[in-house]
Amino acid sequence: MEQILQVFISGIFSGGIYALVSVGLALIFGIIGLVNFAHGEFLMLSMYFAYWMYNIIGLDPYQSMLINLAIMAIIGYLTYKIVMERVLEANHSIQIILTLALSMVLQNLALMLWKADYRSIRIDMTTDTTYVGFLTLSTPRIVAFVIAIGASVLLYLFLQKTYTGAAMRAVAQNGKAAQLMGINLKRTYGLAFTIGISLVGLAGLLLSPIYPAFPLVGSNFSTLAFIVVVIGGLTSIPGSIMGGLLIGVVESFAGYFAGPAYQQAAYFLLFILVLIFKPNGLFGKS
Amino acid sequence: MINKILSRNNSVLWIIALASIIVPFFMPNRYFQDIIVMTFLWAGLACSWNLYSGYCNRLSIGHAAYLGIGAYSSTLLYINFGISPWIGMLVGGAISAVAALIIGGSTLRLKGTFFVLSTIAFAEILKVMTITSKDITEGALGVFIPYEPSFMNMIWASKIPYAFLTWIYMLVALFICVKMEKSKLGYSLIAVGENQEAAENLGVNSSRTMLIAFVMSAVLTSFGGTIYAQYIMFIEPTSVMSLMNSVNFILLAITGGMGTAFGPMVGSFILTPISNLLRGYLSSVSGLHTFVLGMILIVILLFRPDGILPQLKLFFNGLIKKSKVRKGV
Amino acid sequence: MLLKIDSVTKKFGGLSAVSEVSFELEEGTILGLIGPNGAGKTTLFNCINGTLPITEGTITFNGEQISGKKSYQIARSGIARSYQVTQPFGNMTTLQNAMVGAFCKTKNYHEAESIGLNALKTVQLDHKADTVAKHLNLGERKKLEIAKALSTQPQLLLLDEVMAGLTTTEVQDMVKIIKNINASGITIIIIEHIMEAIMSLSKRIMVLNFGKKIMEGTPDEVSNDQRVIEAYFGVDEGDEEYA
Repeated sequence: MEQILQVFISGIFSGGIYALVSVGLALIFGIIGLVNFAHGEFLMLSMYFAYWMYNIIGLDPYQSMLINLAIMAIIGYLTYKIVMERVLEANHSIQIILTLALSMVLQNLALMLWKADYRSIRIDMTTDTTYVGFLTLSTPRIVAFVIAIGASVLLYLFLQKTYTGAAMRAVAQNGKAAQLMGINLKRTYGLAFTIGISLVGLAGLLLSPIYPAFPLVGSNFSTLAFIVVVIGGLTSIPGSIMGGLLIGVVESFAGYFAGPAYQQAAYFLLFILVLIFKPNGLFGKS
Repeated sequence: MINKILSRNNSVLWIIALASIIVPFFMPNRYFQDIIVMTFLWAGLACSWNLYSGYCNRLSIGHAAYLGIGAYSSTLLYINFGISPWIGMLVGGAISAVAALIIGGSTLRLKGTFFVLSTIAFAEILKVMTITSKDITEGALGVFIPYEPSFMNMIWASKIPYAFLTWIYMLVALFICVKMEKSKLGYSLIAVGENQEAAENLGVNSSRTMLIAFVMSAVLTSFGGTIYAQYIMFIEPTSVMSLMNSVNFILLAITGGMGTAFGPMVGSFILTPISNLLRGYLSSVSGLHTFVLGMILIVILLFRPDGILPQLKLFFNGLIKKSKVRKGV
Repeated sequence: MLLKIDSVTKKFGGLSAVSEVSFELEEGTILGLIGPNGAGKTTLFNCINGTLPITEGTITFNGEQISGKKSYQIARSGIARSYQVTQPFGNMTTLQNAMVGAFCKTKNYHEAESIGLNALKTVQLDHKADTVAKHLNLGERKKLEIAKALSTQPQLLLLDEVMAGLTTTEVQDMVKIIKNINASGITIIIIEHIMEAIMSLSKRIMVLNFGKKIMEGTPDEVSNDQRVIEAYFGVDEGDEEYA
């Protein structure tokens, strides 16, 4: 029983990160309608930045958080301006292939510049554990989970309670009507993309004390984020949060009962089942 | 974006396709002959992909799965039971057909992005299954095909017979696409791709149309998988059923022109040699060659999403007009 | 009786877009369908051709019940429609667009080509046969909509506001084209707001308002009917004194 709970909690913690990665994607898809297959690569970039911040300047990830977010925001905005803005009107096929190509480019750029070596950040907290009752929890994971969920909830509140957030939701529902109301469409898209990328960058940052950075680290997260977003109901932020947690738990239990090789297959299977039987997602509006 | 102007005059392209078999004979050594073989093979594979995804504009990014089914079916039958890969190829095709029927039946009705994601998911699941079924497939270690050259074994010492084989494969795929373009299936498929509801209103059973084309595409790809296995003589899950391969189908078809019969061929004729040569020259810097390919794809998508073929056609048409003017026609 | 609509209702949630509409259509006639915007005319078309499932009632075509069948099955049975907002297959040529419909009744490429070409000739669009559809102007697109439907060789043609947005000359052309189509034996139901056109084309007219059929009769009867006038212009509450 204690084992099961441990597995469950471990899944929840991973799920928190997945949720953070996915809400960024849900934001981008919901507001811009853009399918971003390169999402995970921004996580990869953020992890590398965190690594360099630590090794060159000596700031641990939590200390370099603001700088990291700023860099990711700039990169996000530039990517939007240079690449994404041109294909806003194109059909989804082009966007999918374009972002796939972008992910190929980013992955291999990282490979070229930084080689395939795993780059880990080892800070004091990395091996810390916290004991809650009979549970052994890795401290960085707790911190990651708390910040990840916190950021996701903040995003949700931002969308619901602020004027800019309302503008974004309006654009998500009907771009043309929103324009008639005086909302600058391109600026809103740019903002949405930037926020989305910053969030996935934050996720990378939170992962860096736990996980090594290497060129391909993002690719699993890309696919996973899509699965979470679909399960969560495609454009719903709360849905993505729930979906992220669910996937984390499914992955954790699959690993426990069947072995690591089956983890990915497990959530892929869940994904296909949802697609076939509940294409509007488990948590979304039906 | 997709150029569906159904090619009415393909004669020049047919001539290029047929004449291309001469090229391997002029290649100075095996390295270049190998590039030609892969060029023909990928031309055929990209055409097979295009048969469904290109014409009705719904991307399968998991076609490497059928490559894998074809490769593993014929290889395992050959290694374990001595069955000729020519038969194995047909068996692989049958298995792919069944897989495509099941997968297609449940996922083809999904809208755009969902369908795409489901194709990726299926390919991944298949890859994992292949890796974990160690007893049957040797898992991640892969399978080596013993070198026993003969026609029945689809193994040859020289690259030239392979060039013929892949050339014929390419021609078959091309022929099927061209025939389909001028048929009820082709018109229905393209209409569904343009506007599914409007097509249904004109009597097109969109589910059935898409399923038929999807199965055909899977089977053709699977045949290519067998040829691939017999040429490379070694298969393993992560290289055969890789996302990179799946993306390659799309890359070639888009570069040449998605939704046109000869587009994928043109794409392969241009990109496969470049890609292989790049890999050779840029091998010193790890990742540079894929980086360059990715950049090429991005540039094409941003500036010429219809692919190169329409440009080539305009160019040729321009030349023909100019020569007619000069002859005083 | 070619088409029999019996107490057909279409509800979206609690809202009845079409409410207990019944009528019978004789082969060879042109039935006009009019009513204010939102009256349910297009919805009724969607119900007849299978785009939308009906909530209650039955639709019988050539003695066969078609309510509940899918739109492609109904198209094959002989009912075709054109769309109010044109839906051409943009990247195919005009002729290829028509051929998609032609393949409904034939598998042969050359036969489909000639059926398609004939359909284009009927709507006077054959000179644009090789133009890519997305380059057509509005009037030509409207004609193409009809041509696509025609090439399925239907018995019943549903025309949905094919004249909206056309110039006066284009409207006159369209009236002639529709008369020719009818003369070749095709039954037509036509939704239109341009009164002169629909009055001159229709043998009988049916009026819908708020999803209900409020009247059916000859063009003269309809244009003089109080209920119809009220539906379009509102109830006359008598003269009011304004201070």
